[in-house]
Amino acid sequence: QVALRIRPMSAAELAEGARPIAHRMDEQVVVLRDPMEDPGDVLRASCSREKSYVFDMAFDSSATQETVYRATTQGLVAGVISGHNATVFAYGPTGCGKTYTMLGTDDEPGIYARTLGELFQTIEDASGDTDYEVSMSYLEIYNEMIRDLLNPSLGCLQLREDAGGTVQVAGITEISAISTEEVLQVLARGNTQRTQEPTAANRSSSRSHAVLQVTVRQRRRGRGLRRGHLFMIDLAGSERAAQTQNRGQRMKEGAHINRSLLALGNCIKALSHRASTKYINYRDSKLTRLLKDSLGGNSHTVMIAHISPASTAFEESRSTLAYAHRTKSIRTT
Amino acid sequence: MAAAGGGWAAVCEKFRTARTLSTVESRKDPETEPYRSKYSARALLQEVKQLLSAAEEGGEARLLAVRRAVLEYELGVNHTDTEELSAGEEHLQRCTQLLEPHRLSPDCVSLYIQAQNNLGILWSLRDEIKTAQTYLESAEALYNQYMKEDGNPPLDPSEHFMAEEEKITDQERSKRFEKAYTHTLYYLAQVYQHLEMIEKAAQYCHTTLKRQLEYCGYNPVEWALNAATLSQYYLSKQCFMEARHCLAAASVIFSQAGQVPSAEDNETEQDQQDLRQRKAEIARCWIKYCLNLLQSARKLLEDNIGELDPDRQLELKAQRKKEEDEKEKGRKKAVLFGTSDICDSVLAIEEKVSSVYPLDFQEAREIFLVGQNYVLEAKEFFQVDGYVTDHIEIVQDHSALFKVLAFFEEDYERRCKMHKRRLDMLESIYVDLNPQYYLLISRQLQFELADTYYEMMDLKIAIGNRLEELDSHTIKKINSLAQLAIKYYELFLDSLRNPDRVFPEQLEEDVLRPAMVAKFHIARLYGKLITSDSKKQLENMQTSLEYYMFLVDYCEKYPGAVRAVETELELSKEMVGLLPTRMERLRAKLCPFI
Repeated sequence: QVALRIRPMSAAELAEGARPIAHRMDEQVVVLRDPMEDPGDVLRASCSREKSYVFDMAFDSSATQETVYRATTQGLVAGVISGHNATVFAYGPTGCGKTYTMLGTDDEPGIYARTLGELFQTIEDASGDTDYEVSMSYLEIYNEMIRDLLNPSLGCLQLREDAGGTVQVAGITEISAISTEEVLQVLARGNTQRTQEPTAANRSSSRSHAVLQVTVRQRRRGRGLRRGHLFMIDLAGSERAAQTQNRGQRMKEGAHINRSLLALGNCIKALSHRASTKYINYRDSKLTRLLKDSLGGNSHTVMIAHISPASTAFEESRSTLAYAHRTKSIRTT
Repeated sequence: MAAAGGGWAAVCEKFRTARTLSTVESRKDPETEPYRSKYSARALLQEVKQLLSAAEEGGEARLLAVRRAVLEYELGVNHTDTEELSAGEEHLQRCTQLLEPHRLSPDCVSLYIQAQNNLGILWSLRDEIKTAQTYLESAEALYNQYMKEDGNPPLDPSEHFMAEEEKITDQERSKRFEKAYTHTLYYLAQVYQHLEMIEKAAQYCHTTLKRQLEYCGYNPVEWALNAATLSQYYLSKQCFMEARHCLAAASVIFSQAGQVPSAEDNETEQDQQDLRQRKAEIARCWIKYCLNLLQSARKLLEDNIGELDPDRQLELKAQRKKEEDEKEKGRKKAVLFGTSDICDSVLAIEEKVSSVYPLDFQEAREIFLVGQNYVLEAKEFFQVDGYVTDHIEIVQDHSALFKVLAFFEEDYERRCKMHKRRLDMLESIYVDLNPQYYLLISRQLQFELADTYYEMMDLKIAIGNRLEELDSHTIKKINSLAQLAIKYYELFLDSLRNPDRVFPEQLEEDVLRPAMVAKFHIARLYGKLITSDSKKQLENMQTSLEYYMFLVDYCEKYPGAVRAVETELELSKEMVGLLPTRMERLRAKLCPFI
């Protein structure tokens, strides 16, 4: 299931003179208008400057946290309790609201808090002959390295696949939780451990993905143990390198050294740029392995893609919409 | 030999197959299985490793160690390529350990350096750029040490798995070794850049380019573009000699591309198009060179009202005579491109344009003409239809060339002619521009047009002042220029309004100064309008006062803005004090009975 959330225009965008070019037409349709630069470009003139995208759900600035939660995640909770798996992704470029959606603020809590609240409530209301145990882990994936945000001193952790095909993080801290407040406190502590990047100019995003894993173990008398996982993930910013002179050459951005002399041109170009904007390359290989459980078989996945409505973010919005749209057609069998 | 003849050949074959899989076949791997060939290669390498350790008895320990080291190297690179960094590191470390005692000898040095290169890359993938730096600098030091102490073309690592007859020539060995070192320097360039050691990064980029010409094989078009881009870096540092050298080399190497008939005969229209575009892009770099050189000279020569200071001119001319000798020495030390065959061509192009500051009109004009030629060349490709933004930037550069040339021109009438040229070219592109889509460029053009009219008006007044009295023709001219300047300044200020047509309360940093200058100039322009109608004059003075007041009020409200407009603010405050009195006097004259 793919949802799209358009955040409100920011003060900075308004000050820049940006105009809104992304609109939610109805419950499922989002339209993106091309603030076309070049009227002299004959090729583009004949194409429509507006493109519409259909998603399972679409939200704009009029949607509250509650609305978004109900539409995307609430339905997953029952499944997790009965032993199924589910994943909620927040995807999109930096600054478009992923953390707001997932974590939220004190006044407007996001999906983490609401999901957990729902979980605990449901468990409380449940019948007496079932025992439930809820535990959580919070980890960060940064440049292919996994760190336990609840115990960062362990350093880099390894993934292990067990005989049953489940992928686990070896040695990760699992805390048992009994209330939403407790979980949020733990989360807050964990967030302070997220990797800071001293070289990220202008933007405070990180290249790290934060994964909150909540496990519900259900033990029914005579029925054995059932285990459901809920992964809630705040993905790193998905900004892409906007320009590259080397067609067909995949560039590793950031501090990675590029092997190929074909990239010498980029290196030289960057010499003259004092404040170079860093473009983050979204890599999900480790993430995919960890979520193998969720992405296949009996699991539900909800992706909430985020975009900015501003004309200044056109390229990013377009690529996010295209990516989210492609994701819709992925069916897990 | 550690194994019998036939067995060894088989081992070599396996090794070669593994390498082919890694480098050639892997490019064809499907996206769903991107590392398929690499995994196959890895299996083969492991097999070779087994075979080697099986044949341990007999044979030279040293030879065996080196062969093992080659395998560890290949496995290290293999694991790094498949994103298994820990394993990659292990193998590469084992490789260097095996070679450590012999690392300066011809059979080991190249492999050792390549292993260190790869360790550098590996650590960069972990974002530990300082660690990467240590490995690469160590490789650099080793190369230098080897060249100093030995210098003979060392064995290429692949030779350790070749039969005797297949071994490569000394010439080829040298080429491959130098290529490995070129990569060391190239990786260091990237490292220094990430560490914000920009000057060093530029130096290493420059050396990499140079070595590409000498050792590596290169694509002439790409090389030319890179050299031209590097020149822009040098411009930003005012290193004109280096910049000119890069550009001249770029032009020479680029022309090689046109001459060599392409291997595939299906050179498409697109390729031709690309070539023309690249040529035009190099021309644009040259334009920037000429412009920068002229503008930097201007900064040195101008006095505090923006006119050429003759004393400073004399001073600089004397200084230049002295420095000529030192420049020659400096030139010889500089990193020059080129093998002997292109050296002369490069020199020929360099001689067409100076790299020292022009100190008078003659010198400035020569550089201007070179710049103008490149403008024409660039415009051939970047025509308005299809390349609006590029075309406009070129025209703006052309206008800037005229502007800076005018600075050197003593005669006011001739200066006016230059500004007129500017007005013509700027207006012709401005008139067709859609301000909604091209907001930023529109603003730039409006401001530049206004400024140009303003300067022309000032010149006309200065010319007029030389005569006894201003004739009506001149007066008309002055007024019309002033009105046009006002018009464009107003258009610029209008463009700052928000969608509700309201002028912003507080101005953004990037438009603050131009907006204030616009207001200031408008105030002054209203003061310069010549009219015999006293009532009209009073109106003009009133408008003038209002604009001066805007500056004063704004700076009071937002004291942070003062820095941006200090001089203008000072004058504005003066005028705000003076004007009301003048206006009173004028009013008194008009209505003497009230």
